[in-house]
Amino acid sequence: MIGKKLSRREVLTAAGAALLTLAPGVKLVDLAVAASKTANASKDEATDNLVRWGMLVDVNKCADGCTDCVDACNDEHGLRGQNNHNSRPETDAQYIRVLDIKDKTTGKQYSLPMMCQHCETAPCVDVCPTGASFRREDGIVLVDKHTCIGCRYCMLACPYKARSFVHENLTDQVPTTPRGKGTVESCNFCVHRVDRGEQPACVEACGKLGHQALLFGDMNDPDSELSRQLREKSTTQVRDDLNLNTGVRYYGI
Amino acid sequence: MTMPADDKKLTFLKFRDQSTLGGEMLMYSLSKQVAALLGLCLAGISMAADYSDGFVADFRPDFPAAVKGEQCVAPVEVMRRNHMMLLFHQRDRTVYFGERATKYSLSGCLSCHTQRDTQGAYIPINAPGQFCQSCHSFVSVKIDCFECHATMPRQRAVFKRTAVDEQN
Repeated sequence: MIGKKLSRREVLTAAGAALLTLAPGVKLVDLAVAASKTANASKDEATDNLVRWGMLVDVNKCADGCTDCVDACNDEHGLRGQNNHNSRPETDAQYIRVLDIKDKTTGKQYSLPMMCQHCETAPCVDVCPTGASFRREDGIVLVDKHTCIGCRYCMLACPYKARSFVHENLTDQVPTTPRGKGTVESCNFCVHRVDRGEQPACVEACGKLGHQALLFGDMNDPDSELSRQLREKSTTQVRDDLNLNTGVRYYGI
Repeated sequence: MTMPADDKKLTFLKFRDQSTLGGEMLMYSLSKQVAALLGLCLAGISMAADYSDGFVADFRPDFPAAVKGEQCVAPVEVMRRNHMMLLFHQRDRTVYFGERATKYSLSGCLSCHTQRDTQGAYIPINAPGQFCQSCHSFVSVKIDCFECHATMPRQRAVFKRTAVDEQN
């Protein structure tokens, strides 16, 4: 569970709130909270664990043969540079990939996108020897490439094969996604877009064609569309036997 | 588990804030006073020895002026000595806490200091003679920022579309 520990100040504030009621229903603390929410829109605001970003993949809506999410991802992060003469499809990084799956007993076929599941207890974070692999306060699992030594331990530990290693020297990187040889990388929920208050590139691309198979939102906010759907539908975590509490949930598998 | 790792980072950042950046800033405010004194002395010497401005200028790297903006994000003296501290600080705040203000960011540098060639295409900022590279080669510093980071604002063909998109 993501619980925010109450500091001494917060306990005292809460206690004071009981006394300081300005008018029926209006409290000083409410005003303070409202003020701080406006400030959160600023680019300078640090992330906090009141939010947990998550995604719901509706497999029934995922169109056969469509690779729009993958293309949008490659474009957003500059994974397939046009001037990158060292590009090798077999070993190039992939943040998101489409899996075609068939149930052998029934013959039912479906495709689904697979990427970093942004686990609460992420195995990649557990095994990282330098602390480069970490989980941000808002639940996004990232690699600090400044401290990554490229040992690839996290790639072995990840049950979802979500991570890639950069084998070649790169040029023409995208400003928002610095990438370099000798580091491991994976889906970062388009963290630079999320910090701007936007949706990840794959979610946007999926919605553009009207497929709407991907839904991104705050799992901690009970009023968000994501939380509402997670409450109503019986969704699945891939490899839920591992108890990782993934941030990406699937419906229809 | 994740928490201990996060705690370690926090302590590390706090330490860096106080010891390095704070220290450098203090040094800057002190150095202004020292510089004033030094300036008086030098004025005396230069009058005696007849050193011209040209003599000093010969020992400076030659780099292109910023394309836009009159004033950098901090006084020139601070930027010359401490730009790496500012960048390091911003880097960690951005990676771990998602604070993406561009004031002290590398892309902030790019947005003013990237030059264009005669065709209007961007020149990588780490190319010989460009803003970052000219000083670093002058002082024999090898930086590896640009092995990973973009060397120019984004300007590329978009997948599945033909229009050239330009961001930043």
